[in-house]
Amino acid sequence: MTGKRWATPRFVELRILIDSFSNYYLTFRLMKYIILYIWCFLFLGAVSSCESLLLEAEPENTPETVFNYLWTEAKEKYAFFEYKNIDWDEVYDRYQPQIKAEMSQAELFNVLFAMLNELRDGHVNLISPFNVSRYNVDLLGPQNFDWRILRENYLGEDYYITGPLNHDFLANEKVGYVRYASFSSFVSQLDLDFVMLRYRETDGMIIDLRQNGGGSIANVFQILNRFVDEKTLVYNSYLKTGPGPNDFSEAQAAYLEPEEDHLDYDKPVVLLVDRGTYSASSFFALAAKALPQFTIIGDNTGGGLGIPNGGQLPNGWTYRFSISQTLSLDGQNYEDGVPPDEKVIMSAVNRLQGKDPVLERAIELITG
Amino acid sequence: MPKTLFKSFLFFLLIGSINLSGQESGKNLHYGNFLYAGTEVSLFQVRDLGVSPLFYEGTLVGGGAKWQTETEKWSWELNGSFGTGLITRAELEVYAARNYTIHHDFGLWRKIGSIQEDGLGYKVGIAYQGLTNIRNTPAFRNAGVTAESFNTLLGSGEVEWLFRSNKEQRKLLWLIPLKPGYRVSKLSFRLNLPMLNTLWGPRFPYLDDFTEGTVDYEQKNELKLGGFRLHSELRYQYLLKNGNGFQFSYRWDVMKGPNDFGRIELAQHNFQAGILIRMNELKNARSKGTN
Repeated sequence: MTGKRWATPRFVELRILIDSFSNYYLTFRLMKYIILYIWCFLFLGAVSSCESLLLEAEPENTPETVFNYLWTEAKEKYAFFEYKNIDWDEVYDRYQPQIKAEMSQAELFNVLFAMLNELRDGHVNLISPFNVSRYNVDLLGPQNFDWRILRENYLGEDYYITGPLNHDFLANEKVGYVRYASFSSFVSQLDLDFVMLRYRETDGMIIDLRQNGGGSIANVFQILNRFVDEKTLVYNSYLKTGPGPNDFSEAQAAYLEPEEDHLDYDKPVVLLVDRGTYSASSFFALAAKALPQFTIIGDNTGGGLGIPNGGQLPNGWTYRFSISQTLSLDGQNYEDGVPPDEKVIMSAVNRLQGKDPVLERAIELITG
Repeated sequence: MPKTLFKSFLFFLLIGSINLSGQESGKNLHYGNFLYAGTEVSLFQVRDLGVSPLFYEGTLVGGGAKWQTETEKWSWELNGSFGTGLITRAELEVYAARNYTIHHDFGLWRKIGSIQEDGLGYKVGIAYQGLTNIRNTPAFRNAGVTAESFNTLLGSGEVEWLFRSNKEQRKLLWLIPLKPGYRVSKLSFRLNLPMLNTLWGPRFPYLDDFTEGTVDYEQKNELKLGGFRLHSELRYQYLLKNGNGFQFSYRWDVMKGPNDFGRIELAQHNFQAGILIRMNELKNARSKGTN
């Protein structure tokens, strides 16, 4: 009876169904795919955000966070606290209370602007979409240069313009005068070849870097390599390598090297500088100090021998400040200005008379 | 550039597919020597704490090649690939940097047990993972080129799942006609945990030092020990009757440099697609099978 009962069509159907589901192989395959798909989704979901667990989150964009971030960055990376005798912790105590959660972007900018100017450094800027903070080093001394007086009374209007160099003969072609207004303008080897060729028969050359606010240091080497006949050490730089006040790298030596297959110049050279001679121009003056044929006259340069480095704040504004010190070969730090060998200042009377005493003294030094 | 790479990939896929379609079957097609050639896309992010607390993100496109060898007991692979693209950060203004990555990896694994039929298999081994990253950034008023290379020795574990199916009738795989016979596909997940992490990178947390106005990597960079790296890969292989095949991978890679002062952090989600070209006689692969 029992056998018959199981043999009815209804039970046969059920038995086939049970057999199918109990078939180990099929069940295994089904389970395998289900587990596989679940596992894949879990895996992809987990790893897609996993780095946020392993890497530190970005700081919040609030006035207090932005202030603290900038202050800390400067504390750890700015290179001249000791040289300039700046107590940065005391600066924090003065400016931090001015930071309010509800302050406007402009108000925050003004507080940070004022705080950064405590560094008294032309290489320090804070850049926002609506303003740029700055410290005007060139106003610390007189402008020792007047381009109009030069053109009207010394060069005339037919001087040569070769690339970024304005130049011509002076003193009955005994002197070559070369004006370089900005190190941001690239000087090519071709430009220099032409200048060296034109003035090779002169008794000396004047290089005028007054009011040259700097630019690329590569141009310093491009030009000065024409004035050496062997590899010459000109200065040493020390970069900030850690958060401590004395965490600096070992000396990074900077060398001039003669340019093969290019014209050079081995006559006396007089370099004209003033307080507007800044950054790359000051590096040029510092390197020139190491070369015996160079004489530097004018005013102290503006300095700026710390290499400026940029960064970004949590709110997207950018900044830069000096992160290195560069010392002369005798270990002097001229961050506040490279001193001239001979100080010559253009007075108000000189201006009224249309005279450039700095240039005239340079001519005198060359022609005797 | 991305278009060219994509077209190249399609071309190779087409050429490869034509050759793949009509040969004899085998149950252990996953054994053998393979040359992988394919394209990749990475969702890439980098943060250089020397200059910014913000992550820069972008999509890198590139390609690469691998040598993959798999036997019943061992497997090893050598990988080289590159990618390039813009990484940006839009925060009031958009800052962008051109980024280049080069992967150089090697791994050796020993199988624990052997998969003769469908099912799970395990491998343990050792992997070397190298990522060289070059950033050319015009941001922050001090344009510079920075190169850093993460090189890590990792302990590696892998779980693989092998599927075999016997197709009794002709069918189409996308547009590719397939003859009846065995198909082998394999899904694997590999997790690499760091044992020794090194970073060859800037000794100073600055994009460029400008001491002499030029970039001198020998002077600028140094080798540092430490930091952290985690790497995983989810890979799917589909092997056709002639032993060639397709391979798709998703790789997740996260790493950070050893020092806090100007630490570099990178993370990427890397998707790869390519073809596997069998580099040994198919007989060798088949002889290990049981069909």
